[in-house]
Amino acid sequence: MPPRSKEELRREAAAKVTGVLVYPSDLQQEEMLWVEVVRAAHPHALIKSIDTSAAEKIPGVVRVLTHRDVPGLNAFGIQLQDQPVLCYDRVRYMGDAVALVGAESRQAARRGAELVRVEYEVLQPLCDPEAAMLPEAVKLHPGGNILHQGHFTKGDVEEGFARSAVIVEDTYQVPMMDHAYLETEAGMAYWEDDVLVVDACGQYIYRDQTQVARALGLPLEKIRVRAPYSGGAFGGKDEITVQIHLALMAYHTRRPCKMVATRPESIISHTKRHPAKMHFKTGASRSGKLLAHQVRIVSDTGAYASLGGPVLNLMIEHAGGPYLIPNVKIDAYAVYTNNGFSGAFRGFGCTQVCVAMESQMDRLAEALGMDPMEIRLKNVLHQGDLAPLGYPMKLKVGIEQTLKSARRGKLWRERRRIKNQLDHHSPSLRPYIKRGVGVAAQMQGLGLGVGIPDYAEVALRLLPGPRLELMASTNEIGQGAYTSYALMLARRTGLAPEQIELKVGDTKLAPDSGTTTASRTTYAVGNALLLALDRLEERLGQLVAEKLSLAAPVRLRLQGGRLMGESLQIELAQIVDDQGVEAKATFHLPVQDIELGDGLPHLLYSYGTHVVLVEVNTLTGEITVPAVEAHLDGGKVIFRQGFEGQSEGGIAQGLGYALFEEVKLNEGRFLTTNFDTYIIPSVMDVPYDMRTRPVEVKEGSGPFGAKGISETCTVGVAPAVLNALADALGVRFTRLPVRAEDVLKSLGEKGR
Amino acid sequence: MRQILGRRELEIELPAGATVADALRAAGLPNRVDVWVLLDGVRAGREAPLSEGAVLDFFQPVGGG
Repeated sequence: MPPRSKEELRREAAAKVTGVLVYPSDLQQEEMLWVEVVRAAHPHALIKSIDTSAAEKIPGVVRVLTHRDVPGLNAFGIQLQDQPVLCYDRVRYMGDAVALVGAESRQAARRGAELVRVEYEVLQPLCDPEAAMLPEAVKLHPGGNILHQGHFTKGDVEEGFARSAVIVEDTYQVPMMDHAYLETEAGMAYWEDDVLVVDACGQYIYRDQTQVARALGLPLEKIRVRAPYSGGAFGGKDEITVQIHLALMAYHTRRPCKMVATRPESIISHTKRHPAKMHFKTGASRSGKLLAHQVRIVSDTGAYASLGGPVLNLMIEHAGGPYLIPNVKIDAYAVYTNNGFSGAFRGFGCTQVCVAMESQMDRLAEALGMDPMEIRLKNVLHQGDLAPLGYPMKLKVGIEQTLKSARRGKLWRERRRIKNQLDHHSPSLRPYIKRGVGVAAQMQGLGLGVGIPDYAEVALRLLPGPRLELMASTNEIGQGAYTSYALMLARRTGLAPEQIELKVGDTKLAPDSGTTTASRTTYAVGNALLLALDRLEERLGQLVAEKLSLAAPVRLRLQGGRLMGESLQIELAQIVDDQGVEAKATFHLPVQDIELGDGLPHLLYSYGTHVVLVEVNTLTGEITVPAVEAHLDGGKVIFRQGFEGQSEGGIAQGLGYALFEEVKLNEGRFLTTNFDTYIIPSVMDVPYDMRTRPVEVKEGSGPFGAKGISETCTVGVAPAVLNALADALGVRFTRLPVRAEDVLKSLGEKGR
Repeated sequence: MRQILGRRELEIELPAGATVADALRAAGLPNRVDVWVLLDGVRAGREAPLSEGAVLDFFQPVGGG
């Protein structure tokens, strides 16, 4: 959809389409060194020795660094620092870094990296999470192989199952998924006087600054981190990627240092969506009311913690979907293995469990002879209800509205006609084409949840012109955040978006606005900037009172270039000089008053219902998706084009999860290291007919009633595809991705 | 942080003119760059001065979804 007005045009649109925008991988400096990483040769091995002498002799190689050159803590990790910056005794996955080579050219750096001799004692990799949980398994970390576990009971599931008229039960398996952002991990580090500057892709520059400072043993003020516009992140750049390695080489060589990961290196080294095995058992009454729900999840977190614990907690929180269930029992484990390394990914645990839960809902409907939409509507949560884990849904709950919007939508309303619409195929082929329509509903926690400090601090500076500057540290990763900030400021002040300047994504210029994750930035930064505007107007009221010698400050509102009071109107230029007027504010995200675990539960949620049409050629097994509808409640929409962009990208990513994408490993070694084997949807696979319906349930605590959209827009897509496939074929797939060969195999089993 | 301190909350008496760094020392927290401090709800540097009744939150930067 085109922007509805010039104001709604994405701020960086022109720079992006004309190619002048500088991404981290575009950064260049005089005298810069290229840095290459020597990665592990085995998924699990002891390091016996590291010999850098041959590499150091390569012409152009300036410096080779090993663990001995890490001046501070040789470890990093968002939650636990269990991953070495450079490995010294052991490697635990193929992406582990053992040495860094800095050279005058990329070729020399690569040649040097090839010649770093590492002697290993190869160990058997631990690849089965269930086996890794056993007490006799080799320990990958001192605390054992269970990174985190959660056990939760509400009511009595056995009694609930005993009362159930129908029970459905199965094991669902979801694959490891790569974020497949257009731009791989990249950046540059260099000295600016005595401050080490790191310009790199990232999702929380203040935390990156801390992780870099800790590894280098430098105080925070000696490290400046900036996040240029980045070519996508989706959670995959939340953890440290290139930042510490770049800083370390610049620290030792005093020269600008550049890194750009190749695609295979990116796929092997950065975090992934957790593969998981999920056993779900759900019981309902004859009338379709959910009575009992029992879940066991084993999530494979790979070699290091990153955010494996919090992701598991979100799986637990969302395993019951957006439904009222009286009896719930959940046992969940996040387990270390030598299978790569998993962490944050758009949907953050909700994506995995939604595949299982929404399949269960359709199976219950089928067993009871109910309409899939009706069984969901019969069980959805309302404000005041107790969520599956037993805490109250205190704020407005939009799930019913999204389901009803979907029920009114064309795909669902006319599904019988649409399923028989096969005119685009030749008459002889038509008998072999099956169409199906599926639905999935879900909710997604917004923000970091209870127990994790979650705030956004921003600063504003009003200058003559008028010009309004916003300083915020959250950064643009393609989601449209900067345009949303400018639209909110413009809407509140009457200034035009071009009168608003953003000084963002820089620890030197902007205060700590928190993470660029968890669907939180529109809500958190939006609230903070509105608070800061209140403060700014208070300050202007004081200045006006001083100027006019009034007894008390005046209540003023900034409106375009003027300050409007009840009985006065002042041109800004009379009050604001070139120094400008500043104000700061910090917004704390509201949280639940009970705490069930790190970030568990949330108070705020976004809601969504997806409806998907699939078409299956039963001769070839080929699956196509002609149409998808997304009915999304992210509160009031601030930036309509950005909202639709998120939704359509979320649909494509969800289709990738359902039908295409799987990072495959064999004994800890990656088999899919580029887009020739790791297949993502192309323009031929994404439907032309994508419709996004904003279901704007105004959130009272949100800026202009807004919440967030960036995860809920993708979570429901894959289960809706599975439900559509079941509708088309009468076959229930429980393992993603579903490919043509899976279709043919299942039809063979069914006896077509 | 709770594990490091061994408890959820503590009260600290400090002389006038004390800073965040003094409070960290008094709390028995080693001087680590990865311990962040909120002073009355706002991110504060080590040199920030404390006033009577100041509330400090010590934490490590995490994240989540």
